[in-house]
Amino acid sequence: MHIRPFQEFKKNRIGVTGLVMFLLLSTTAILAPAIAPHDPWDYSDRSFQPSSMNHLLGTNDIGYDIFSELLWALRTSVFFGVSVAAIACTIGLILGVSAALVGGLYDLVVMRIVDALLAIPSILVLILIAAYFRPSTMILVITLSLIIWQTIARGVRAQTLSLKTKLHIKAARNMGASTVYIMRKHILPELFPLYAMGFVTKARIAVFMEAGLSFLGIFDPTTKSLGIMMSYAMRYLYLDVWFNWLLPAVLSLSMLIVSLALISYAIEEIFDPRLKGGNNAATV
Amino acid sequence: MPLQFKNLNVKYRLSGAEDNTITALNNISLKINEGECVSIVGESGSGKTTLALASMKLLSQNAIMTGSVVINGVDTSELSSEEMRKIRWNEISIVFQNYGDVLNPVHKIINQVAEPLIKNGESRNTALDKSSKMLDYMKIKTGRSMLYPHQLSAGERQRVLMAMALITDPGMLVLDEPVASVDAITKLYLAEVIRKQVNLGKAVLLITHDLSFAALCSDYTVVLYSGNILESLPSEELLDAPRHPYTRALVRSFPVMERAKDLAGVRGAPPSQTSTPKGCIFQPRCTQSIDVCLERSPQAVSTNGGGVVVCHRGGIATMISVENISKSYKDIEVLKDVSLKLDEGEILALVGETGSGKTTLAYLIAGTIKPDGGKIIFREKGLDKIDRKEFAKMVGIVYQSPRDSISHRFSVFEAIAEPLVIHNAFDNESAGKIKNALREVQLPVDDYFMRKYPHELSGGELQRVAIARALILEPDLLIADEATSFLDPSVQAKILRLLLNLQNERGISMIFVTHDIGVARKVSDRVAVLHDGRIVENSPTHHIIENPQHEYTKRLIDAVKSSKISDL
Repeated sequence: MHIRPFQEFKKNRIGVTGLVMFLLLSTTAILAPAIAPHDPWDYSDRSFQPSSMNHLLGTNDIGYDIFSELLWALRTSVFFGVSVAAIACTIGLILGVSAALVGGLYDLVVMRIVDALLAIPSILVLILIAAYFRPSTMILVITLSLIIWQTIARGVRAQTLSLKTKLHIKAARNMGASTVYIMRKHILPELFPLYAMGFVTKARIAVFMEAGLSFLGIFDPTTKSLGIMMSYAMRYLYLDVWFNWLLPAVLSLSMLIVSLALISYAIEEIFDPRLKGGNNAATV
Repeated sequence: MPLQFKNLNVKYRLSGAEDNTITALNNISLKINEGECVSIVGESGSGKTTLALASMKLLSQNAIMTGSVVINGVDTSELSSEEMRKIRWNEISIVFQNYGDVLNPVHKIINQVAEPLIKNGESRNTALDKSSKMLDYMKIKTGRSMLYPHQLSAGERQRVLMAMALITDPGMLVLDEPVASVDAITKLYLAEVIRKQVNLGKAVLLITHDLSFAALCSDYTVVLYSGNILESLPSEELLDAPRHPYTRALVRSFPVMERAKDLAGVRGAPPSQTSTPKGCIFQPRCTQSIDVCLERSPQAVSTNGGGVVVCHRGGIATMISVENISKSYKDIEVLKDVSLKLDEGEILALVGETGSGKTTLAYLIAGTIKPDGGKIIFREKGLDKIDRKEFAKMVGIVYQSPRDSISHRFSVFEAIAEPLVIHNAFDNESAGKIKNALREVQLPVDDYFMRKYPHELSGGELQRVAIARALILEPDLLIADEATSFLDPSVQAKILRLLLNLQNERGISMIFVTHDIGVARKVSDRVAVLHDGRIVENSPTHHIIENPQHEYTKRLIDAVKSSKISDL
């Protein structure tokens, strides 16, 4: 079965919608320092101002511009999601492929670690670490990455084990190819769907966790975060700030998570043609 | 010693400058004893007829001869033409190649046969009487002896020529292509006549391109190539165990009844005879030449078969010898004490049922798996001492299923380029090389095709791509592991033909792993039958098919031949 993932993705409406949403949100996030009208760490007006031309979403309880805060918070979420996904995927990929190719005791050790991590609820670990040590965002990124790579490693290992016995890989080996060559030319391209899926899923989990934990108030409170925004907005709900304070934060978070979910849905559909509606035979 | 050639050199002067010559015979030394028949074989233009003419001192005016031809102890180069004429027909006679114009068209054949006798002074009547008897003996029907040459068939004319040569009962006979134009039954009869003459003590020099006739009639066979002797060997070994690559190529070109393998010509063309190359004269067409073959001309070496071969490598060299190899996968013993030899340029079929260990044996030879015991020698070097990657370069493998053996992510171009990339040999010339490889396997070479992916190709096309990939590094050994068993008969036929042509052109050795002895019969020189991890039989293909020795081989062949299922 031969699939050209990019052509297929272009044809997939759900995937394109998700990707466009994600790109829009992440571009905004990246450009936050340039387009934010006010410094989100400094008060710019009186508190609880309603929406105006100067303050698109008004100001919060201590006079910060909510729109600028929102942009910076989105930046944190995207950064958190993408970095955790990248690190977790890299760890998972390296350990998974090497476990499958090296085998033996190494494989055994790696897989037992995977089993152990699977048994530990990652959210609990993260809450404990965040609550006790109050680490910086970067440390949290790494911590989260270190406890969620296991599913990727497991999938990659299984796929590599089955790939290893494929005739075209044996043929390359018989031609005298080195392990590095086989990884680069034969195994990694075949694993692409796995890590594309893994990346999106992990990013989604990370975004959600970051928002959740900061909502609970166990993250560094000086960082701008959608969770923190929501948690503060909730406190002043009686002042009728839900429209300009709570709703934008909730919508941004939902859109980010939905966009990632749509992308992962599309990827899954492309690489597993059985999920495709209509004429299945066309993909052989 | 009736007939002997001593360091015979013959050149033909061409028009123009004095040194404008072509070499017809180069340093030929040859002896023919009484009661012995020696055949000279070779392609057209190899100097066979020049040798026949030289023996009769009948070379044309423009021939320059050095060395000597000795007949019954007399050096003919010192004889005057008058003295030579006495020897001709009385001591040595020749049967010319039958072109239809060697007989005098205006005389009846009976008179022509009687002519030598009359010249010798016999009375006309006795001569005619003897002539008639001789024609009878040569199975010319009574009555037809009164005809003129043009009224006879080619086969009859040939027998008339034979009668002319025999009528004076000379001690030596030179036969130049005596059976080129006769049917099989006449051929067999002539063979009987020749054998009878040899047994009567005649020395016979038989010139022929018919290898089976040479094997049938002669005691020794001398292989002539472009005026040089490349090999001389006992005739019974000619068809089954030739030692020189050229002789083997000739045998492969020659249709023999019991052989089913497709015929293949000798690759390339004979050399120009105007210049002598520095090295071995056969080198440009040889499939196993090494550096020294380009530099020096080879010396004759005796073989253990009782012949002489003129080759730097001592004749056809052994490429791989497998010695007492065994291999197990966990508890299952796949190969037990297997020994095998593969010559340079040989096609060996490994035949056996599924699970007999033939694929394991092939991969052991390819060096991709390691044996548990025994050793494999590749060109006189242990396989374990050769760098794995270097060896991989010399072995091309074509797998059973082309769909699986080529990554679905590679285009045709990328798939064929893969071995080059792996061996860091991909450069500016590679695109041209890949195009050539595609041409060789008869696939299109346009960019559109080279950008296609495996799923866009048919099984036959894809297997051709796999073959091109296996050959791109110009390997010395090609292993075809059930390479055609997934293909339909028509595609299989084309792929087999392609493999054979490539093998012949490139002279590579081939191991053909197949469960189908019918396929093995069509492609291989030799068959090794594997059963339960042992080689139960290993002989030339036609011997195995015609006369299987082992029970298992018999069963295998019967199973292929059987047309009905026995009653249950």
